[in-house]
Amino acid sequence: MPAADDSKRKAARETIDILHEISILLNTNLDRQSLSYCVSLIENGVNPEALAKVIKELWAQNERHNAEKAGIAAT
Amino acid sequence: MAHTARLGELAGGLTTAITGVQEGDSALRVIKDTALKGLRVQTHARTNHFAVRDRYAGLVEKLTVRNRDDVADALQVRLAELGIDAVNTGKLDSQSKWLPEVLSLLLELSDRPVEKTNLQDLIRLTKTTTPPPPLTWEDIVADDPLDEDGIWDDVERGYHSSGDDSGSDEGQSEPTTSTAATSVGEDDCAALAVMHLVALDESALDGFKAASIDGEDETSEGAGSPTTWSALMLVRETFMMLHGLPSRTYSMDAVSGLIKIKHDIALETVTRSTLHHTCERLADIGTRLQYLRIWTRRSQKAAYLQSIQSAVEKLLTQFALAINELEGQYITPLHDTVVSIASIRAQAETLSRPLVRLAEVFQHVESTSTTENQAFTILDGLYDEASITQMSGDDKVFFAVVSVLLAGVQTYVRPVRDWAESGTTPSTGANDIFILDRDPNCDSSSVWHQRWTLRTTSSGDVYAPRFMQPFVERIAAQGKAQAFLKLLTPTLEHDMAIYSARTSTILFSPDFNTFLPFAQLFDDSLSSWLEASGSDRTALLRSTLLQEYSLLTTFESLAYVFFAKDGTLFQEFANAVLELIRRRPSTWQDRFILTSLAQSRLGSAAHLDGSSITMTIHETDDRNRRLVIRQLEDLQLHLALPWPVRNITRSNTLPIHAAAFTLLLQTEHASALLRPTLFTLRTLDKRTSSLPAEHHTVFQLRWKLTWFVNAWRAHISTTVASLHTTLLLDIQHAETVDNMAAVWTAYEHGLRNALLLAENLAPMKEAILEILEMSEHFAILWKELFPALSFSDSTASTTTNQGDAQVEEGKAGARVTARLGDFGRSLSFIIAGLRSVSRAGGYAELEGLLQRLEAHPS
Repeated sequence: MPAADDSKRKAARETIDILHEISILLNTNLDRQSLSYCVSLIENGVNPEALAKVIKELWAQNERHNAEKAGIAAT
Repeated sequence: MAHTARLGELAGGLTTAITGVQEGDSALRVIKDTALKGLRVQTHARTNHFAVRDRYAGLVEKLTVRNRDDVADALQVRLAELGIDAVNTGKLDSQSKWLPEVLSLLLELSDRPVEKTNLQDLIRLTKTTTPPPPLTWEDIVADDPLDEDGIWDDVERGYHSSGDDSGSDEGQSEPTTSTAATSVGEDDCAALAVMHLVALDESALDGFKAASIDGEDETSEGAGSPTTWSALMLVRETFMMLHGLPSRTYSMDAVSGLIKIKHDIALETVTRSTLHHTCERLADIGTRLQYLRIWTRRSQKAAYLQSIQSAVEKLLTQFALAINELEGQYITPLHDTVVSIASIRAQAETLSRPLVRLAEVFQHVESTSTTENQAFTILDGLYDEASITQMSGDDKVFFAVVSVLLAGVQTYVRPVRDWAESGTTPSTGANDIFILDRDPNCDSSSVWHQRWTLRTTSSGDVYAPRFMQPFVERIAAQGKAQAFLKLLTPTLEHDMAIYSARTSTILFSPDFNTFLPFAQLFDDSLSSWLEASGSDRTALLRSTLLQEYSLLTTFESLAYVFFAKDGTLFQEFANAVLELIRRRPSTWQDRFILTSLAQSRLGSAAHLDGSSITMTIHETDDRNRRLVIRQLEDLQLHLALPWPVRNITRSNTLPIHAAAFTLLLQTEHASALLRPTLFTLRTLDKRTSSLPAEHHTVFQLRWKLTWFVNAWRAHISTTVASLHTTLLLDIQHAETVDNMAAVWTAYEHGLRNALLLAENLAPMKEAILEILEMSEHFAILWKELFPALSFSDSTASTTTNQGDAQVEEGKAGARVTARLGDFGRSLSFIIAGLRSVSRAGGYAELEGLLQRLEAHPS
């Protein structure tokens, strides 16, 4: 069965590649790793809307954090 | 628990990936917990796969509408790879059941892809993949080691391969005809042609030459003793000579074709004198034939001469075939044949008679023609010969001559036919016909009369064969009508091109049994050909001119413009001009104002375009010192005519008509000066017996002037009306443009005479103008005699201002008497002049005027 696993893995890899390309086309700003985590989370039953909300909150938090760091560095 | 742990692990990984906070950082735990809490929220509705599909379809459509076809296509391709055809079929055969959720997530996270997506990012992403390593021999050998049995053995080829050839030099091989013919880019046409030539085998004739030179050494020119030949040898040499080939018996001059007997030969069975005479006759025949052969080989520029050459060559070919038949009797005799040079002579004479006669005709033509008239002398010579041979009853020669003549005539008439049917003259000089396109760029108004003329020789004859002379005028007229019609109606050219293809050959069947002379038959054939071509468009041209180009309407408008046919319009114009003269005595000759007056008054007649009317002023220096009657002579009224009409009138202006209009204007002015005084008479005392003598005289003068002006105006009106009506009738009946031009010329001639505009009638016209001037003097005198009664009319006051230099001082009465005397003298002069021209004849239009004036009141 290693060949079947290989093909499965290859198929999954290709699917992730395509999803990554779609995410680039949709300008989601998700890198490949993040996308992989997202796919895994969804496969584990996470609601996509909830996940999207969480990701947006994380981005916002990240921006605040970066803004604070930039402000501290300026002073 | 495992699920929760897994979830936590994934959330931690996602948090790290997005925020960059690494494991071990205290903030990560807080962020991760927050994220995990958010992920566990179950209040959201389940993902609707169809809604996801529709959203992607809408997004693709939006991208397409917003001109982001590249992104739309890339998205569609990726969706299709995932098994989702959102746009076309709405298929949702996704490879994973979680794919719609993932796609929904991507839609939630998308940030204005229409504006912000850059396809280069995707391209960079796909290009970052490393290319596969190049294939090496080691890889090939590793996959397929070269250790098979016999792998290194020689291969037995079952086909011819180029490697087996040795020592072949490709450069020296000659290309075959087929390869050379199909080779692309072969520029050497000469080499290509050479390949198709068959080289002569000169050695093929060696045996024949060797056999034929038997006895050659024994003979020599001028030898004392004649050579005895056999009849067969002589016959053979004679046939060679008749064919135009070199022979031992006859010598041939290559330039002139003169054939003479080369050797003094003798036959055993024929006396020398007889034989010599026979051979001389045969040589003479050969000379004529050779002349024809040389003539047919000459280069001729004229196409009809080339046709004649071709016809003669046909006859020569027929003769050669006949001679071959004769030869055949001796080569393969079918029955006992007597070899007789006399028989050959007789048969040769019979067979060659038409050709000999033709040669004589050509030689005669050549000897008599000069450089100028040799153009058609051959045709004329053949024509005459055909007539002669018909009358002499020599049918064989007749048919041969006619066939050659017809061949030339058929070619000659082709450009003639083109001219007659389409009005096109030939472009090349060698095929010139009797029509000369003298000035292709001439003005359109003089196209008919100046562009095409008959081409003549220096002796004045038309440049055409004699048999065409009777048809020249007719063909020229037809072609001119065609050419003119083409200018009038350019779209007609297409129809003419189709029409001219129908018939082009002269059908002539020379029936020898007819009693009609050949000339008659030929003329009938030419006439039939001309009529059958249907090229007579004279009627069409006439109807086009009359209807489409409104020739009649234009001529009708002349009466309204120049002859005051609508008296109201003319009166309005005359009043306006005279008012202008009154108000602006020194500056009334303004071309633009007068043109405007003419266009607005005279141009308002029916079927008349007012903008075609203009007025011009003849510049003079002493304008202000002359009476108005004389100043009016400086005015000229013009009517612009369409160019087809100008081809008939042969003039861009109409000077006779303009002069007639001026006369009418002058007469109207004189009448206007005399008219107002009528009403002032009513205020006078009715007891005429108490009037002073000078009042009687002035009344008498006024009466006579009024009578004369009325008579003169009546003459103008009736005469021009009559002439104009005749013009309209005659124009409608005129068949051709030349006829129309002749009608117009006759009309203008009548007009010129009727209005005394001819040079020889100028004194009478001057006398009439002097009488009209008296009206102006009368107006001045009337004012002087009846100052209280003088009507302050415009014209009288104008003449008073302007005629001061002309007014004599002294008693008005004496002046009136003097004017009366002047009137009488002028009238007598006019009457005498009219009587003399009436006696001379040719001035029928003036008889009416004479009658009117002779009935003058005493």
